[in-house]
Amino acid sequence: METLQSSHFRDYTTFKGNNDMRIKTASIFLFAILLLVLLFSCEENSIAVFYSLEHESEVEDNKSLDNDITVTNIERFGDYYYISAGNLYRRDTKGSTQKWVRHSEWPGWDSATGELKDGLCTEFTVFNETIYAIFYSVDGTETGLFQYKGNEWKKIENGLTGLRLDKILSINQTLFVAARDSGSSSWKLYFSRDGESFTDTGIGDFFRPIISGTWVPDTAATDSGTFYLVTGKKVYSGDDPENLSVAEDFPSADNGYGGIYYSRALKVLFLSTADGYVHANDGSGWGTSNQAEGVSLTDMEELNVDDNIVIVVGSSNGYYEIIVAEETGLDKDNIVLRIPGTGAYYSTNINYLNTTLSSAVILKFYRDEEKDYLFGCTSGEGLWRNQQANGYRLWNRE
Amino acid sequence: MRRVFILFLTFILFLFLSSDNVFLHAQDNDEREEDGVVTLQYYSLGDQMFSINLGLLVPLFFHNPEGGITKTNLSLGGVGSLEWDAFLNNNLSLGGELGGGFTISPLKRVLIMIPITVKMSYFIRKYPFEFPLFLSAGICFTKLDDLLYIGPIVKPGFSAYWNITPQWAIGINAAYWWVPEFYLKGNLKEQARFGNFAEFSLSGLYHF
Repeated sequence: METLQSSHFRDYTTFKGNNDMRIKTASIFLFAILLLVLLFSCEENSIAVFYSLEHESEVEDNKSLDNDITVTNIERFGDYYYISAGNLYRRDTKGSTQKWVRHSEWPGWDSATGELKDGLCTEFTVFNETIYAIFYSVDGTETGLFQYKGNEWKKIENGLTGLRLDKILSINQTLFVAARDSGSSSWKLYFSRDGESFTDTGIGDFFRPIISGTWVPDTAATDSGTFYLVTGKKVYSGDDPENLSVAEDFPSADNGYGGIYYSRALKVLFLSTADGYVHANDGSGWGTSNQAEGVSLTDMEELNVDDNIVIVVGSSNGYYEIIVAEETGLDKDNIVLRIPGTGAYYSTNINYLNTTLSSAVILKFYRDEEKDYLFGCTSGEGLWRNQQANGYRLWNRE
Repeated sequence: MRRVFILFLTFILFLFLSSDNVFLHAQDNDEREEDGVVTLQYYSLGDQMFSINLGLLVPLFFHNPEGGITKTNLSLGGVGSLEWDAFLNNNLSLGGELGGGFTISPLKRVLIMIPITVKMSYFIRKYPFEFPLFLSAGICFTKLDDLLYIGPIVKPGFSAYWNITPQWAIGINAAYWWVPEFYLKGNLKEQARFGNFAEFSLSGLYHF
């Protein structure tokens, strides 16, 4: 027993020196690991992991609207938001939980006739404080333009009889309808100033019907200006709907245009293309953005965030932003298309990259300035609402 | 998860039922007499232990180094690890731990953290119980969707073990996870956050 104890004590003493050495080695090892971590921890993510989680919140969902519908347009009229999504729907603008109500449940449904009665709504717009909507019969053979005013439905046929209707736009007190003769593949553009009768603009034979339009006021006076209407591969312009012609000096787009938008704040005309570019003209000529690779760009809208004007550009895969400092304005030679949520500055979202909106086809943007909402209409991913919340903007579902 | 928990409980029950008189273990250990005081040497250099830990990961808060504490928005998560330790002397062990933890965000994103750490433990004991205080440090692979951050992690904590047999023990652990995420360059510098988590786990240990 004595021998055993002495042996152990001797062992202990012998190993004590080794232990100190091992502890020292371990300390060096630990220090080396920490140093390596410091050197290699700088992974370049699009957003920091914890920061992303810190600002994540559950996406609010109105739930009265299906999340897989295609929404072609949204506009505010009075105390309601209206959307076209197979049916027309509307909801009260108060709050975010108001129920979306189908058009067949609106007052005045008794007055509905024709395609409106059993058909599908593909497009609508608000013009002269009246709803104008295109309805298709279920079999797709008949179309009609319907007006909803004073709780009454009325079919508008004057100038549109026998035509198949596709797109409707309301631009600067003028209503435009893209239509074609039955059996024809060539589209024509019709316009109306009273919303009751339509006149042929004389332009047509489009590769695709009109997809987007805007009006640019003359710099000297705001009551005169120029219409710009974009088809698949042409831009038409003119100061009068009866006097539209192919616009000169517009950048070409191999795969077609996506949308046109005029920013009154920046005094810049933006043109998006299916090739992934945004061209911008500030009056001194065109500038071109970097390319959003592998996507086609669609509709555009703007909103103010902090001291910036943010141009949002819809695409076939989410949307892009062009951030312009209000103070400096747009440098057309340095237009940067960037994916929201990448980089330190968060403009239109804090949760965009976490949602399915980031991979959705965005057809249309709409801004409600009074509420400071930005709506995004998608193909098959429903309707999204961007709003301020706790100092950040975030996306919620309608 | 429930099945794993049942298996773990079964394993513990098996250990308990198959255990020898734990007090025999003390007699098996070395003794050292100095000034008439007999000091039991339970472990000496080269003794090793292997443990499996399973438990809960509790997200606490994120700390913004520029000031402010913010909530993590994360759910209660799970944690597990494999650990090997070797004794340097009767009270001190040095080892390594490979772990993994997960929690879920409001948008159902899964935050996965995989720490690989070096662990130093100091054992306080009242046989058959042992109370190691430890400090782990190493690297942590933090993953969220397609975001990956490799950074440091420091885990101070303590455990309480009950030696059921000379070889087997079970115990509980509590550890604090300090997971800094910082960027020395680039536009994410201002998004630096220090992640703070708590781990509460059960252990099964084998001495050899």
